[in-house]
Amino acid sequence: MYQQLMLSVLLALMLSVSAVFAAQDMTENMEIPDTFAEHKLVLQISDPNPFKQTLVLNVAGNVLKHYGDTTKVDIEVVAFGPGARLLFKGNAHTPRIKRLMAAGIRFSVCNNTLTNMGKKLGYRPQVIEGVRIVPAGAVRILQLNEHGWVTIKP
Amino acid sequence: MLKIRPIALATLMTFGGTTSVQAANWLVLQGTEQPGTAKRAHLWGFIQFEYSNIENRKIKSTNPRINGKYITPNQIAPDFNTHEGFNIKRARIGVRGNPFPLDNKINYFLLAEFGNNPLTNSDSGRDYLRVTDASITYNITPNHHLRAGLFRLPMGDESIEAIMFSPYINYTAVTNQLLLERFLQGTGTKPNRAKVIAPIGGYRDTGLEWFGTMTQGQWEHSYAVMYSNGNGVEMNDTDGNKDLTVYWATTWLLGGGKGPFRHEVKGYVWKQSGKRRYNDGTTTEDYNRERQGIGLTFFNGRYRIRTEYIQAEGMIFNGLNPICGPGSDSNYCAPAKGGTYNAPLPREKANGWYLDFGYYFSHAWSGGIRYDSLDRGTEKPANLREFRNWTLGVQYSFNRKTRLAVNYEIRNARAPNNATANDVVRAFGNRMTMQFQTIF
Repeated sequence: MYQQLMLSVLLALMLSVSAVFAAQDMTENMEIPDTFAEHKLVLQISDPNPFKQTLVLNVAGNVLKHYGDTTKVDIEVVAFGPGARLLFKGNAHTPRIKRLMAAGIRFSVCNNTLTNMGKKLGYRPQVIEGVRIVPAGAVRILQLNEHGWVTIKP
Repeated sequence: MLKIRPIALATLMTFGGTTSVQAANWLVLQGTEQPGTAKRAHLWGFIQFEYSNIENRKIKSTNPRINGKYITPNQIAPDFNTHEGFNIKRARIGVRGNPFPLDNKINYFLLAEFGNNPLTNSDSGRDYLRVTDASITYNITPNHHLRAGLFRLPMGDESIEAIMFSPYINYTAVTNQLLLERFLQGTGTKPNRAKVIAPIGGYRDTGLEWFGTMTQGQWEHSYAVMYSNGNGVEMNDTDGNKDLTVYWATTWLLGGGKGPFRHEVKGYVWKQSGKRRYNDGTTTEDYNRERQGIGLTFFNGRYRIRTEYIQAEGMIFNGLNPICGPGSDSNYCAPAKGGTYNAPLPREKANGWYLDFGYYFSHAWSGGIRYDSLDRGTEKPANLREFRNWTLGVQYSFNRKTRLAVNYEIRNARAPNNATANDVVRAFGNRMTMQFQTIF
């Protein structure tokens, strides 16, 4: 009985600690990037259409190519709602997303979407390594806009 | 004799890496969706409009019973009532996708035929609509899959590829006669005659398939094992006998191109085993039906080479009863419909091969030349028929979805040990076909 109680307490403690770390991670992910880039762009993907997935990656790549590097342009792709599928682990675009990440483009996915999709799936979907989880995709876009980022929704 | 030992196949199946590649792998392309990107329902299809003109030669023979008559192989299938004319050869519409897009585990593929061909218009009846594919795929992992339903058999390259990407309009004699199965039963009136009892097989069957792809660097290995009814697009099983088809392909990825136009060198082997119940009009018996092949393809964006050798044993298709006419210039071969096929050869053998060379002048223009050979009925001298064909083809693509193709086939056939049959097959005429196709 005592052992069971201790185990329950330990489990609750571990869950609380992991939740605190997760919340900290998300808070960090919500921070405004410290950038001197002249151009600042948010690309929104919230559409289930697979062509939009390709298009948003094309736009990110083309804008970066146009300006040269991330010292000239800062780009963040924010995915929420049905568009979050782009950043799920195993997505066919994963190699391309990783190449864009390596070039300095940030990818953020909405935690509310992950939670709600998790309820439908029966498990929380995993995201591609390196993708930042933000508490709310729409709030992240709003926040970036308030600090000078321009939103394009291809 | 090509044989694939089960242990060797199992060893090959466990070999290899796990990197996912979605490319010109027909096992994967037809019915499997890319993870994380598929729509719930993607509507698609294609239309093929054709004009055919076959040289309508008459039989020249010292035998007055056949001299001066027309032959059915010079008439246009499936109606056999004219040697030239327009047709909507294929008009297919389908839907494919992922029924629950959040989860990549399940895909489906549904396709129906509305065109005028032996799938919809055979001696077994005029159906106007025929479901050609209805499959559900369970993606065990991104690289290994289990498919159930009605779908393409994993066999030769001509038969497994999507028809709208075929570089030629008509199949080679060896693929057409040995792999495109006709379902026949004896008429009961003449022992050497048979009638069609079901639509043509369409290189498809209903059953279960385990298949997958493994990639290691520039190498890709694909396998498939299919267990099926052996009844083509009929969906049911009329005799309780099942077919087992196994397939293996090893591909060297050259880099460049994608989808059906991936640059690659591919070697493949396959084998199909089963039985067919045939009633010759008096007795019913189950006969073995074996098919096997080995092939090689090469495509680098500019040049295309394809070759395949196929062997067949049992239930050999023996052609239509070729004699018709003379009569008027229309409908003179229409009586060929309705029970006048030659009875199949249940214990005979056949083999054949083809070699195709293609050149892509530009994105819009391509051309090719193909030679194909078939020896049918090789066990009994009187049964032997030799088919030797040359095909010249030119294609013009208006865009990525629409093309115009013109083919000219020089068709030759011989029956070296049967004088009457030789007079008949020597009347085979050359065929010109023009096809206008769009995919949507």
